[in-house]
Amino acid sequence: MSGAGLAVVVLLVLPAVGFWLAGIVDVLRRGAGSRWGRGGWLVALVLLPGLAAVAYFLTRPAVGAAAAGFGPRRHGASSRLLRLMELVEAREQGVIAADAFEAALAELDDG
Amino acid sequence: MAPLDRFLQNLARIVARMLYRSVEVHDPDPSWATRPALLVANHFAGFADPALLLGILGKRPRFLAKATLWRSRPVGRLLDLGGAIPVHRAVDGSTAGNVDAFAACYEALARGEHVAIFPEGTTHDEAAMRRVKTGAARIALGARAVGVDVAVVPVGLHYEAKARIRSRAAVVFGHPIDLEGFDPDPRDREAVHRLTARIDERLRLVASDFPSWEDAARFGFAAAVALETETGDVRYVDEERLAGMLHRAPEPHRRQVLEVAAAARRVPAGRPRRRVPGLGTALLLVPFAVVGVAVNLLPYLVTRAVGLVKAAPVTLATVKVLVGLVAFVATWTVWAFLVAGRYGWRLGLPTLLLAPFYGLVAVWVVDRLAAAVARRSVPRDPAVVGAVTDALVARGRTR
Repeated sequence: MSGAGLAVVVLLVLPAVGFWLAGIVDVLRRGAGSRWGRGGWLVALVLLPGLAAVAYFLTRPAVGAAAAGFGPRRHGASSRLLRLMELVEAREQGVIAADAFEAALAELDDG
Repeated sequence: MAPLDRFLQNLARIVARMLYRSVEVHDPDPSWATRPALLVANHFAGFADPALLLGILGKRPRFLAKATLWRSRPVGRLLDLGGAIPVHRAVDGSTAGNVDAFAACYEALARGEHVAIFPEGTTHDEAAMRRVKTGAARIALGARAVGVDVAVVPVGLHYEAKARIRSRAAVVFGHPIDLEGFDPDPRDREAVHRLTARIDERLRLVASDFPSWEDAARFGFAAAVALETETGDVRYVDEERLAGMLHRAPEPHRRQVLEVAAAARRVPAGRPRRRVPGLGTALLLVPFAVVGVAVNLLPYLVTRAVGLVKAAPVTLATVKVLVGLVAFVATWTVWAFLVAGRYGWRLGLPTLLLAPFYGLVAVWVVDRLAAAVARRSVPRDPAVVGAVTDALVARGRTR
């Protein structure tokens, strides 16, 4: 195989096959949508691998309803400062009362 | 959820990953996401604000947008495609058409959808939020009046540098606002004004709201030093949250935090960061990242060039997102056609996925390599942590 042919295989063919397989696995694992819908995607992925994989990944639903960002994960999540920030936030927004704030503060100092 | 909605959201997610280095989300009570919800957000970055929200939410909200945007036919088509609801502002003339806008909001909420509104009514470059207008309160009370258990959720949108590509952004959700005690009648002026004041107050707690950008920078620095010292890590979303809390702390704590933080500037800050997770994988992926850079370099440079234009940051934020969206999607499409022309559509079609995928690999690898050679830019100083802790406790107690 020539260098160009090898590059095409490594950069295009293998990742394309990888996407196709990932699409099949994703349909089975996510369990989103109806059984007929998932079955339809599987049939499409088998019959029209390229087109169906593109369509599936561009229109697949998000995992869960909650908002999700991306970027560095938080380190030191158990730190006293971050916990204190959460308490003040809850107090500012009226989620916890003054006595609950003091109790949580005392617990934070003990811990 | 219609396939078109999911397509727009997935596209927004991919473009967000290209345009921003990180979009950090803080949501202390995500239970609202499974209910009908009215999201009320600050409006500091024009079109970038809805685009950012679209990229991080679990499902596409119906955005309220000023009706004058529909005067441009292409923009109107785009907004219709995205399910936006036109709202008529008093400043633009008659507000008679808002009966339909409110009805559309009630219907969407009754179907369990989310509606997003920027209640300042305009986008701007000021450090302080503008006063919230009454529309959000009227929608919330009107929805309650027709029996919808709507959650009103304040959403703070934060940008490290609005015009710069690969800068950081953060989204801070507040706890849903308790609507008990409000008469569920949008014609009750007293209830509308009380709820508007509540929304205004709660939105300012999660959004950036400082008297000046100098104040924002000084409190941001104090927050960064405290977080770096305490956790060895300065996430943008935590820095923004903490800066706001410190600014809201009572005197003399506020002043003490700034004084102690100003002294911390003299502490040397040159030590390298700790181990970078994923660095080994990033090194293995360098060849693929090189391909990703080559494929996406042109749209990246075009989008980056937007930051060089002399214009207001809020304008550049809008232009950056629009240019980035068009430039990246057009480039991926061109690559797909080029590959299809050479190797057929069996490989041309997957190239539509591979071009952005390689781009994402490139930014992932570049971010990790950059983190590995970066040096700590924020000093560590336990005195700042002490002053910040005192200020936070005082803030919690004076609330």
